[in-house]
Amino acid sequence: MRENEQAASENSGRHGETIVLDGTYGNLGRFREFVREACRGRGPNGPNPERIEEIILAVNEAVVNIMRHALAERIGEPVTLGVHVAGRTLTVTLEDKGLPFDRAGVAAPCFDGSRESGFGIFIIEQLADRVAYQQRSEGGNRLQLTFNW
Amino acid sequence: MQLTTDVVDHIAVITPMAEALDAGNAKAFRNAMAPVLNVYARVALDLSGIGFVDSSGCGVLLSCLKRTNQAGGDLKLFSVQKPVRAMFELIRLHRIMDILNNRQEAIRAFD
Repeated sequence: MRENEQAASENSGRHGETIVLDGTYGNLGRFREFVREACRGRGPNGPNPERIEEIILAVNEAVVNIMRHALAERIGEPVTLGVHVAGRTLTVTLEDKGLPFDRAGVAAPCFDGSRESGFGIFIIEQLADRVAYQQRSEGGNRLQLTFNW
Repeated sequence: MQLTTDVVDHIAVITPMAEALDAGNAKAFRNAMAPVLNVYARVALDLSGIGFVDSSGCGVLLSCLKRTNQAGGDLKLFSVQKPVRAMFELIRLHRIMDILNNRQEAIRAFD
């Protein structure tokens, strides 16, 4: 399995960590666990358990969208997940080399039970305090999610 | 995905053997539920062991709800963990799907 984990340290003064995993559904749990550990690593100054669950859910949805829509037929290619904490703000950066994301092309969610999908972007935008997307100059996408607590 | 099935008063009480219901196993859950839904229209789903559900997991629950409704029955959820309940509320799933506190309440809710 292609994998490269760079655990940064509080000792260095940089509160950031990055993981690169194959973009497969089987790795979803590992992406979630990485975010959970990054949040818990802040100790009492970190987000409370409810906020941690919200952050994990939003990141999970973003990773699934990358696999499903950006990587698409190339599912399994690497996805980079970076977490940076400054004060009471956690920033998650997701990078892939997949197809460009078009926010304008995403339909509004339907809450009457008639549709079984289409909630991902809504969830991300509800739970993150800031969502910033850009196409990378070298190809692919960079999604930055900011969470306050 | 493995499920345990217990039948009480023609209600199938289903317990998924998984810690999460997400994009990684939603299809496996759908496949595991298919034979249950072919036989039972009244289904109570025990989510006590599920600590995480994402939008794909919610999607497959909606799919199961539709199947039971089409057969004249219903799908009810019970013993839902707090983060999962929060997720359901976020996408308003609690408004279209009955969520009960425990197994007894879920079974009684079919009366």
